Amino acid sequence: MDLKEGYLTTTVDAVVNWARSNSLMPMPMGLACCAIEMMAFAGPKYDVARFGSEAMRFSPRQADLMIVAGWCSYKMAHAIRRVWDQMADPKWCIAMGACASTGGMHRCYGVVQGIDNFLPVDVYISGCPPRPEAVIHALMDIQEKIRNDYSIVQDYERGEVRGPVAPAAPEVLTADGGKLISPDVLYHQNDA
Amino acid sequence: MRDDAKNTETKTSEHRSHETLKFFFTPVEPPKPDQENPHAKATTRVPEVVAALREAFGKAILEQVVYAGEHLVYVEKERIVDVCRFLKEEQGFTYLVDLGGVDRFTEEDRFEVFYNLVNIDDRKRLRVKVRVDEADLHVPSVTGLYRAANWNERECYDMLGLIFDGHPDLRRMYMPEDFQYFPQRKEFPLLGIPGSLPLPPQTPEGGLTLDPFAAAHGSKPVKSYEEPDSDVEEAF
Amino acid sequence: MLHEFIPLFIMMLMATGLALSLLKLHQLFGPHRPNRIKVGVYESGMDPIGTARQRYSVKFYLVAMIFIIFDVEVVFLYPWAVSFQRFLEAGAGLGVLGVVTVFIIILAIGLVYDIKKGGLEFD
Repeated sequence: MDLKEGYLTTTVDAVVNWARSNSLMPMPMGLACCAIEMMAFAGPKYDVARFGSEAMRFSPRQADLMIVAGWCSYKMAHAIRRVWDQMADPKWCIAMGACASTGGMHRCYGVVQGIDNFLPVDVYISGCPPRPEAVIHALMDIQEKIRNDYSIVQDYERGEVRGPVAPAAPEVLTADGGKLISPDVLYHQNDA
Repeated sequence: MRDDAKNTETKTSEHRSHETLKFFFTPVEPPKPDQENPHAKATTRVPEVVAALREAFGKAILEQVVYAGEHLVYVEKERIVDVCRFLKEEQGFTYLVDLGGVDRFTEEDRFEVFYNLVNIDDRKRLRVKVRVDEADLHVPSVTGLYRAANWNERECYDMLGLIFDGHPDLRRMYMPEDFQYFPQRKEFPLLGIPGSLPLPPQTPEGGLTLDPFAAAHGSKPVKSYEEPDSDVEEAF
Repeated sequence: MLHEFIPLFIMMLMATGLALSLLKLHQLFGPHRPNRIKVGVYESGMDPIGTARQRYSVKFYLVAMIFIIFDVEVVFLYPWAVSFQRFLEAGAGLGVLGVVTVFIIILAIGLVYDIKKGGLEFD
């Protein structure tokens, strides 16, 4: 018998999920222009306090939803990852805007091409910047995701613990033969 | 989206003919260097300053170009500090607006450093350029004359690798201190060298991610309740 | 007389009991998954620089000390003010007024000393 689907577990889950979904405290990681729309989303017109996200907690210890708004540079990525790790479980993440989802208009060496390269993202929002209604829609999506979660099992059973899946080092291949080359070659390709 | 009656209806085929966007292109002749530029302001017309420079330095002034009403003077690399001192103290160009580097990607004199100088009292603007060869990347620094040049020269070093002699604090500006390449050189690829700029680890206590496109290569960062256990004990 | 304070004691017990039992319940039933960064110090995503215990100016301590002294004086003045009416009716109004004036004068001398010594200069 699956522990997740038992009667008691689903009832407790329903109560716990109702409480968690209706009291999401966002931790606004406002990095760039999307932060303005996030301020609008918290402002009086597109009020997010009516969804329970009354206070934007700027401390990771008091928040459970991190909204990454704006493009993330490689240097800032380390700070963001550390702030994410300092948040207590359970926690969710919204990638707001094109730049947080995929790197957006900044297709270059200094901007991380999507924060899902180092953060487990739950909801992506497209737009540059997305309208506050789109951010509210994302918040409602997260609420629905939480309502369908198996919280008790998640909290108490370890299940399968996954380690990191990323390859240790990038593999750079030549265009024609598919031969592995060292990344340095890209830099010296115009040397005489 | 809410399930309105409107949304669940199948769309009837109402084809709109595709309109071709009209693209309006006004052919304009490129400005010739000696042509009168109607947009040039009087501030950039400074032939008397260039004449004074030639008189004071003679051979060190390599070339003079007037383009679109703006004066540009090429100076020998070793004499740039003297030229700037002359311009600052005797000609009154006390304001260094900008300093930067250019990668021309030519065989000879690959790099250039430009200095935009402004005389606020007499309302004059002048551009001074220095050509730097790839074999000898050292340029004398003007930080002693213009304090504003400090960070601009750091940026130039970080992005192009030009070394400024006499700079009090020449270190990298935008890239991390141990970054091995110079990003704004023409041969640096747009998306960077994979592995040169590491990303944070995929788990809290893991190693750095070296692949900048980890998600595209199938790696999913671990959800918080599936992270591997740590050996740290909680205080309470 | 003590039995009038029983509701107050019950209230204090309930407040402390609630706080302690919530903490104990978390220790027993909450999931514990610490890792090095989660229990580490928070400094906006960076490694912490410097210590959290910094020395701060003594002017805060001085203001707190002076506040305590004059707060205790006010605590003595409140019951006097409330019961002054009865003293007046008993006929001893002037004497009682004199006593409390002496009390205030002694503390006012202390206040003048503090002002002259610069204890009330905040900057």
